[in-house]
Order: sequence, then structure tokens, then C-alpha cells
Amino acid sequence: MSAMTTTAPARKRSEPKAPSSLGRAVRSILKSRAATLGFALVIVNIAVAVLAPVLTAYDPIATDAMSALQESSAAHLLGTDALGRDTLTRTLFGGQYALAISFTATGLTVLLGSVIAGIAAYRGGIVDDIITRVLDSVLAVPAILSMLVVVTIFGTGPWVIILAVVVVFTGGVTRIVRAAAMDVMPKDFITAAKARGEGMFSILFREVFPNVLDIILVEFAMRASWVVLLISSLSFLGFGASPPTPDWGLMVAENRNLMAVVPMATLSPIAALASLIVGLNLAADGLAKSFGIDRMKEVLG
Amino acid sequence: MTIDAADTIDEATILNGTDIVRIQNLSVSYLSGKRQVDVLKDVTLQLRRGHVLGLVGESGSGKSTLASALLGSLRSTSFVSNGSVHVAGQDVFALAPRALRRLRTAEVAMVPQNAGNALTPTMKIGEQIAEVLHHLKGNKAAQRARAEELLRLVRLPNPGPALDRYPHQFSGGQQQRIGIAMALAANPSLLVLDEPTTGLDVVTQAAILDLLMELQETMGMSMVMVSHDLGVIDKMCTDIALLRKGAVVESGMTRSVLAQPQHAYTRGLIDSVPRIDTPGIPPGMDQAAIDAGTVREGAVELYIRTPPTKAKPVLSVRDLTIDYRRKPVPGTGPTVQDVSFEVNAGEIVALVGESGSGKSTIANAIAGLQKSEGGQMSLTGSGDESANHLRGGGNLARTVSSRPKSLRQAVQLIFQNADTSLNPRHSVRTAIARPLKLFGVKGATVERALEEVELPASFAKRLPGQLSGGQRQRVGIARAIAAGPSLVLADEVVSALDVSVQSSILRLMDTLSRDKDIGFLFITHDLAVVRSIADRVVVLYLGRIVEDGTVEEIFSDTSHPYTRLLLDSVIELGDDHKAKAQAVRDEIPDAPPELGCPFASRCPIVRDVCRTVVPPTIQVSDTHNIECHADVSELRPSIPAL
Repeated sequence: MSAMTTTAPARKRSEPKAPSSLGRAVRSILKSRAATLGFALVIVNIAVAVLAPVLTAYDPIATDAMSALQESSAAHLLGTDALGRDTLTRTLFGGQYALAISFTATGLTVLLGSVIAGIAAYRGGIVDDIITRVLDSVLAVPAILSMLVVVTIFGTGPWVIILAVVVVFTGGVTRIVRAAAMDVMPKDFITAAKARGEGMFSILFREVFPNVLDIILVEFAMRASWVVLLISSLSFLGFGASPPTPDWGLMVAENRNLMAVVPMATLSPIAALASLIVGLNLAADGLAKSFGIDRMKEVLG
Repeated sequence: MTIDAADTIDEATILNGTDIVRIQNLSVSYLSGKRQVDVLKDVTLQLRRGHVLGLVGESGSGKSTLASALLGSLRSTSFVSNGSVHVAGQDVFALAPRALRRLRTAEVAMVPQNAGNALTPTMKIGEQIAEVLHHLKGNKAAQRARAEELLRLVRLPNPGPALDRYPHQFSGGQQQRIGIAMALAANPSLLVLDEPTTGLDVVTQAAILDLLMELQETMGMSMVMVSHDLGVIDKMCTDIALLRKGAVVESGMTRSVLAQPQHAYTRGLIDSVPRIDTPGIPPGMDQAAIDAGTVREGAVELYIRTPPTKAKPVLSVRDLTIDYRRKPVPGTGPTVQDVSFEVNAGEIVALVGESGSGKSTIANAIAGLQKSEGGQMSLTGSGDESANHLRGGGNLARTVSSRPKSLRQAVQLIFQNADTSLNPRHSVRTAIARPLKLFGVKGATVERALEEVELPASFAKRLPGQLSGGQRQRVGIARAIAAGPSLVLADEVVSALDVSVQSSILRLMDTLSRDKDIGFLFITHDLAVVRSIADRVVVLYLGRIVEDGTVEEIFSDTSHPYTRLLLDSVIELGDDHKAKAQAVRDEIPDAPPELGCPFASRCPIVRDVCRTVVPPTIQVSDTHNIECHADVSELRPSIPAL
């Protein structure tokens, strides 16, 4: 039955290499100086937090009354605080708490937010209405206020903070991802999956999320910067990390009265925190732009 | 110096008013890495004032790029690498932004392909038209009056109230009329139309084209029209230019070029068009022969399909009723009512009708994606081979979530738009492997499935973005066939494809239906395609069957007035377009009537009884039924078909 004419030219063409959108994204990020700087800052911050024990000889917690309130010297490059702890060491360790909590919390938020968004977009109708209205009302309450409420009810502790972040930020993530998922929903490959009788979660994870992954990633980077800031604020207010944990927010709170004596004890955690947040913001922008270009290219073919 | 001299001569002739468009040696390119890729190669064309130029070619031939170049617009990555475009005496790519804007507002206007996408969904029509009325800026009342006048010009019903409605409240055809109205706002001397009727059904298309033709004649406009439909070009255009891979291969007066094509490509395109008056699938295009420049001699060899000999139903639909209304609305009936038909194993049944006739609704109900209110639908196991996965078929009344796996496997879908039918993030392998795994199809592999749709196994690694439209459609078919279905629902599967690719997909469907004994329910509004591939046809109007029969019977002289309207609206290459009867071409109503014949409101031979009593079935033959109150003799045209 070879009544068919074959599509010869297409077959002869040499196999093009599959262009991975990730590869393209990396290349386009490296092209932008701001995005490269952002990613570098984030990576350095994570690396320092992980490698802190190797990078310094001092113990971040042990007090040493003999060397309290010292200014910069060869032994203590950034001086010491009121309890004689090395400021540089505490700053190096200080990212651990904020990074670990905020990345976990952001990860959970984005995951939960995406799933809820997927359900809203998939089910539509009344389910969608209820989900969006409930989340809108959560969004109407200021973030720090709802976090303080959660913390006051459940006390402090890393899991409470994570819970608080999830409660506060899921709404925002859901809103963005839902809009993107709504775009994918009417496409025929979704109809094909529905006609095969695939379940909702199978359709969401197989067909929908891969197509909104760019938006989810940008959302993650943007939310992470907010969450780092929020968690440090909580620590500063005394609801987050508890002494003697080395944490940036807590360090600022502990040392702000000694600004005149040992300014570095306050300024170095602030600088570190600022570098992380600026880095995350630049990275998020870079991601958004590179994926944006990515999308444009798809449109233009 | 010599160039300057040439320019002045050109301008002089143009100002004397002969040529509205003058394209000289135009090349448009973009850079792929360091390589320069030409989208247009050395294009030289002229268009005299008051003439209509048709740009024809396959997708990727550069016809849309050429059309937008007339407005001085290119994709951001493209640039003019050689040559020039003069419109109304002005070199559009040399104009300063301000002058270019003046050109675009006063001389050239464009009607986009999909007016529905081009209109802002959140703005009232009146405000959107007012935006383009630059010369009336600030004068709200005058803008409104002019907007209403424009809508009247394009024959939009109730132009006054229409100004305060939003785009989604209009049908596709009406949206296109609004798009044309906006383009006419500044009385342009040149109108550029990019596939103005693609995606509209035959009746709406005929109406829009009639409107354009009339506007062109009364306003003396020049037009450039991009289309892949040779029939449309033949009807509308005085001049024609055929593009292939960015170069003009043939140009001249439409009638003479199409009657005596000199280039192998023109010949190939003409031969690929299925005809409404001849059965059979036309040959595909032999690109290699075109490259070699061999012009085919003699008659076109059509492939005539043989319908299956024994009638063994796979799908049987009885009195299907679907109702979208939450509560009954006085004067209207359910969306789909009392639809009954059968699809036999190995048979291709076409479901035809305008947009809004309920074709897709019925297909969705059969696929289990849409709830049905009444009637029965059942699937019977087909062929000996498929009996092992499908014993005794099943009841299709329930939606997909409550259907057993064997039933979901037995009904598969192929879609119109190959671009969205495949997940862009999944490779071809992932796409085809999913149904294989989900349904546990034994002995089937992705490679086998690809082989069946005549694609090389190496394609499994590719992403949809790396495939052409036709290849994507084949992958979509492979995914459906891989499940081992007994019924395939094919919704407009070839209407988005080039004619050259169309025929190869049609042949593939023919092969699959015969080799695998699969029944196809083929949903389309393209009657020429129906003629070439279908065994039986069901004509649907507002969710009711008005006629059904074998393909020969449907295209015979005796037909329902609605079928007649559809047939008369088809625009074919070589028709005597002026002489062709102007049929009743008002739009399809929003909802079917509660009583009587659904077609009563548009029927030329309507009588009182039609509005109150459901028409009886006229049995023209064993297989040919027409639902009509009229006498059989009235259903034959007084003038024999042209």
C-alpha cells in the first residue's frame, strides 16, 4: 500500500540538535551583566553558608569575654561583638538560618501555590471562584501582620515560620501560576489527555506544569527574596532565630545599640543580607527576561 | 547619480497614477548566527491602481512577510538586505517614523488574519474604531457617527447598538467585518489583507469576499491579498504572484496564470486542490520535480477511495440530544436534538455544517468530554484484531471519567491545529508512548506508530517545534492510532494545512481506515475535502441533521436547501464567479428554534408549516434522507448545477 507520496525533503535533512530551553536560558542569562551578577551573588551566598565551618577558625557561638567589642584587627577582620564573638564568623554563618528556612518555605509555597493554581485552572467554574476569592482575602491582609498572627498563635520555631510564609505567600503564587495555566488549559493536548481519561494530577504534572515552568521558576526567585527579607525581619523582631544562633536579622537586633562602638557588627550582616536580596532580585529579573526571550522565539518560530 | 535619475523617473510615473505598489529587487533577511538567511529573495512586483494582487504560496514561502513589508513593517530580527518598496510613490523603508505613520494612516491599511485576536477584548467596538479615526481626534460625536457609518459600510447588522458591544459578542464573521471597517477608517488607497477568510466557514467566507469585492469596486481601492486558497484568489484578484521559498516563481494576470501555468510549482499547487465536482484525492506535490522544473503533462491522476463493502457499525448514535441551556429559554430548542447516525468499520463519515452547527459538540459528546441529555451512543467492537482489547464495545452515554479503559482506548481524537495538539515540552516519543503505556497496548512501539504515519523512527527524539505542520499532524495521528482505536474523531484535521500537504494527510487517513478497519468521523466545513475522502456525509444545521447520504448522493442534484447553500458558497478555481448564484447569506442564528425546521429562518423555499412542524424525512433512496417539508422536485435546482 504505497499509494502515499513520501515527504522526502524532510527526511533527508540532518537531525538538528534538540535545543534545550534550559541551555538557551543559561546562555541568555550569561549575556546580561545584571543577571550574571545576580546569580553570582546568590551562588556565593549559598556557598558561603554551606562552607562557613571551613572558611573560619572561630566558633560562631562560643563567647570570649576577653576579646569583646574589638575593632578590626588581623585576628578579627571585622572586629567582635559584645560577647567577644568574631563578627566575620557570625556573618558567614548568619546566612544558614535565613537561607535554609526561606528556601524551604519558598519551595513549599511555590509547590502548593502551583498545585492550587492548577486545580483552579483545571476545574474552573465554581471551584476556581472559591479558590480565587479565598486567596484574594488572604492577600488583602498585610504579610507581616499575618505572619505575626501565626507566630503569636503557634509560638516560634523554624516550622512555624515556614507555615507562616506558606500561608502568606501561597495566594500570590497561585494567582500568577493560575493565569499562566489558564492559557495552557484550552490547548488540544490537554483535551487529548482528558479524552484518554487521565486524572487531574497526571494532566497537571505531565502536561500543564512543564509549560509554565518558566513562570514557576521566576516566581520562586522573586518570592525567595521577599521571604528572606521577611524572615530576617522576624528574627530582628525576636520571633525568628533565637540567640545565640548566628543570624543576620538577629545580629542586627543584638548589635544596633553598639553601632557607635563596633559599627561592623551591625553593618556586615546588613551588607550580607542586602547582597543576597539584590542578588535574588537581579536573578529573578534575569530569569524572567531570558524566559521572555525564550517565549518570543517560540512565537516567532 | 544614475540611481538618482532612475528614482525621479520612477516617482514621476508613480505620481502620474499608474502604480500604487512598486517593489524592486526586494530581499529581506535575518541572521541565524553569522549566516544570512533570506526570507524574500529579489522580489520585483508592480500593482496598478485599482487592481487586486493575490500573493499565493505554501507556509514559509514569505507571502506574509511581503505583505507586511508594504506597511514598512518587518519582524524585529529581519532587515531589508536589498531593494526597495514604493507605495503610493513613497519608499516605505526610507521614510522617517512620522512620515511612515502618515503613510499607514492615510494610504495603506491592513486587515489581519484573525480579527478576533486583533481586537482588544476589553474595549467596546466603538472606542476601538474611534482610536483609528485620527483626523477626528477630540470630537466624540463625529467619531461615533463615522464609526457607525463604517459598520454600516461593512454590513454589520444594527451598527448603532453594535458600537457599545464588546468583541466577544460578535461571531467570527462579524469580527472580520469590524476588522475591515477599522482598516477602511481613513479611506486607504491600498488595503492589505492577510488570509482574510481563513478559519471562516464557506458561507461566511463567501459573504466576506462579496463584501470586499463590492468595497473594492465602489471605493476604487487597490488590494493585496495573501491567501493559500487558489479559489479565493481566482475570484478576487486581477493579478497574481506565486511565491516559493521567498522568491516569485510566476506572476501575471490571474486568469491566464491559473489557466496556463508556466511554472511547475503553479501547476503542482493547482493540481493539489481537491475539487467539489470531482471525487478523488489529488496527488501531493512533488517538490523534487518542481526543483528540477519539470512541468507535469496530461490529466491529474486522482486517487479514488473505495468505501468498505460490508457495513459493520462501530459507532451508533441514536436520538442524541445535548442542551447547553441551564433552563429552557422561550423560543429556542436544545443545542443538539435527535441526531442519529452510524459509522461503520473502515468507513469515513463526514459531519459537515457551518461554524455553530454543533459538529464539534457532537464529537465532544462521543469523546466523553461533553455531557449528553438524551439518546444513546454505543460503540461496537470492530474487526477481529481489535476484538482482543474491546469485547462488545460499550455505552458512550457517560463522560470520560466514568468510562472503562477499553472504551476510552477505542475512541481517539485528532485535532485541527497541530500546533496545540502536541505538548511543546514533550518529545514525539513521550507523546506517543503515553497512550501505549496508559492503555497497555501490547506489541506496539513508538517506532511502529511512526512508521504507520510514514515518519522515520529518528523523529521520536524531536520536539514539536522541530517539525513542520504536516509532520506534527502525522504525529498527532500516530498518537491516536497507537492506542489501537476502533473510532477516530478527526476535527478539521486538514483545514490548517497547505493544500500540498493536505492530500498526503488525506491519503494517510484513507490507508489507515482500510488497513486497520478504523471508522473515522471526519468533521469539516470544507466540502471539496469531503468530496475527495468521505464515504458518507451527514449535513448538520443548528444541531439537527438536515440531510444524510453517500457522498455521491449529497453532491447530486437533489439536496436540502441548506446543503445547496453550502455547495453554492464554495469558491472554486475556474468558477464563473460573477454568474454564480448569490445565495441567502445571512448569518447562522445563535440558537436553534423551538419548533419546526431549524433552517426555516434562512430557507429560500420556506412555507408556513416549516416554522411550526418538524419536517418529515424524504427518503430519496435507501441511503439518502432529506428532512424537509418541500416536495422532492423542489429540491432539485431549476438551473442545473454549474
